[in-house]
Amino acid sequence: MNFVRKEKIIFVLMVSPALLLLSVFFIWPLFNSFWISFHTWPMFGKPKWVGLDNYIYTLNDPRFWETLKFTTIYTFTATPMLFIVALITALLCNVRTWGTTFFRAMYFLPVVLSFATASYIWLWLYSELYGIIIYVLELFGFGGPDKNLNVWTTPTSGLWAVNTMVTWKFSGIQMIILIAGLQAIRDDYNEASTLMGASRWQTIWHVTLPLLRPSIALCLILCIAGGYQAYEQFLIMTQGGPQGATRTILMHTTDMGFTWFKLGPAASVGIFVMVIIFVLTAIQLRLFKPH
Amino acid sequence: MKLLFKIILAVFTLLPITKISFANDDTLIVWNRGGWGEWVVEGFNKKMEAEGRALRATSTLNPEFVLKFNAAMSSGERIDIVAMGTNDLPNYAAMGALTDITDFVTGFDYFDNLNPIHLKQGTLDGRYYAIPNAADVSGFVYNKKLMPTPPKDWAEMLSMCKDFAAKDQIMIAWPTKNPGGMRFTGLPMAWANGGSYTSDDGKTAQFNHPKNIEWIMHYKDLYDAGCVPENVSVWDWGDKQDGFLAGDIAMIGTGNFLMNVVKDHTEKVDAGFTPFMSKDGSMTSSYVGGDGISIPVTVGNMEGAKEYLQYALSPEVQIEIYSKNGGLPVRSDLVDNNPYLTEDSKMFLVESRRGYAPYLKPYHEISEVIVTAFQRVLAGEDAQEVFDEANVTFQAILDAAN
Repeated sequence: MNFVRKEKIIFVLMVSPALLLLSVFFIWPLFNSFWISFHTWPMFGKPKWVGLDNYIYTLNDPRFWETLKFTTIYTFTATPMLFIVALITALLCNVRTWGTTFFRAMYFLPVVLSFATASYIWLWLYSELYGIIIYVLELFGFGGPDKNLNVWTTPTSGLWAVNTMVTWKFSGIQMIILIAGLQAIRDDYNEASTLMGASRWQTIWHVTLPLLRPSIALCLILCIAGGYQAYEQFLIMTQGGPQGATRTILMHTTDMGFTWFKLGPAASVGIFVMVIIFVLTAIQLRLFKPH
Repeated sequence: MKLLFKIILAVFTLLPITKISFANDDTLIVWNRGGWGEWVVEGFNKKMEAEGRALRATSTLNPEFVLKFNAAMSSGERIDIVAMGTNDLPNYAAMGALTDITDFVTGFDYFDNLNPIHLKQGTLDGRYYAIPNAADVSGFVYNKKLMPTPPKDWAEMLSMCKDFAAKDQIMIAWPTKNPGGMRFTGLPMAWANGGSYTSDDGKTAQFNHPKNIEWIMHYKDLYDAGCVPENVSVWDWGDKQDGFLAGDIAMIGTGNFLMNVVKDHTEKVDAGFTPFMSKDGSMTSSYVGGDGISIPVTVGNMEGAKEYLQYALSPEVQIEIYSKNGGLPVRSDLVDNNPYLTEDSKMFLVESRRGYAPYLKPYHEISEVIVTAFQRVLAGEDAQEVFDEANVTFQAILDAAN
């Protein structure tokens, strides 16, 4: 066996487990979703081809637009919150001084929790009876003696309450990505900037951030794709309420597919979400393309 | 050794794929959505043991019942018996998930004594797919320690509400976050008042019926008067029930099952039960819900399943399990000599024959529509506008399902 052929066999052997997993858990379900979206898919009996009917049904369904609108609002409010907190903590934790490692670990700690656990912890923190956040907010004059403060009574306060939890939960992983990016920037760029008389802020704005573009792109892509897939946090914390105003597109898809057993329309909603994420990712990749 | 390892690996890999089941003809796989069903399984197994027979029922209790049952049925999993909410029966019958048991059911000696409202939920095009089993009938429970007598009509309810508010006490709570609870304990107030949910055939939405709107406006009046918890729109069933049992709320909508629960809370609660009433108090109504029992089409032991159904309707279950524990018999011939029925049970029994159960295929899909409408009205939006809007969505869902 010559060397090249041996290399090829090793390559195939190395790649095949990942390829197999990808095929079984991503490519096959994806094609299956496409297939289902063109059918009426009953619990029993043969599926019936309906062409684009499920897509038309979805586009005419006000619940699709309402949940899509809310998911978009959530994505574009949570993303800046998350990113700004991650950037600040990354810049702070990139300073080589005593205690940096400790703070990195502390900021990263919430990432290891599951979404469900984090949601329940914050539900407790927001409890109107014994939640410390509500207690502190009431100290600052929110609510009042005759009015219990409950963050879940309006869609806006519910959204910001979840956004805060998500920022706490995910800024750690974004911080690590940004620190990796920061550490890839050669020190001489910053030194040159300082020698040329730039302030610390000017150095960050004109030198650090442009060089951090690939890391920023990765963070934003993860945030936006994650935002459109929001599910557990709203299912646990708001249950879609009040007034159904905090239902995400994924909650709608799950209800449609598994509770109401409308698999065809649910698959079409899934395809729409996939296309939205694909387009937004492509736009971001273009915007953050290195010069 | 290597060969043995390979064989073990192959067996464990292939087992789930080949759907080899260890269940046999001595087993009955029973899926229950709630606690009543667990007691029936226990009773059935004791009976089999006493008769020296090998047949045993195994119970699977599923809190997320609909999701799991859908997944199990669509994958063809064997289930011999399913006890589900009667509101789910029309949809599963229409989807072809349940066995047609018309000949079996109509052959019962006591067929004419089965509650017709309950029985109708398990039908499709005149065929029977389920038997009525555990009845859950709704009504008010009030705490005599806080409210010696219940209001007789809506005007008195509002007047009492103002008295409670003046004392900074909570009189009543309908948690609008809870779709099942709003349907079970809220809509009967509208029905008693002459309102309706859909046409009798379940094909035309009537959510914006003027009498329904009259009821929600009455609730809004109570809310504005200050005797309803301010954050009731984020309350669930458990919040109002816990509040009532703790002696903090004077009156809530509930079901006959609470007759058993209040026995453990006599320190704080002296419970009385009364039906939902119309505006002038002349009419009453209730939601006739509960569990229906069916044989799924994926049944593996048909004879055992039929035997289980007969047992579930027997006096052993209807009297010694249900009636004894605050339940109601679904057979009218088991009322007269039933030693466990109290005055309160009899009130619920009367309501179980007078009340209503909407026959809807897309039951769960409508949930979000109705709770959103209730919450929007409580938040101050125009009730007519909100209910008209909800009715359009309601109708679109019904059209798609029918």
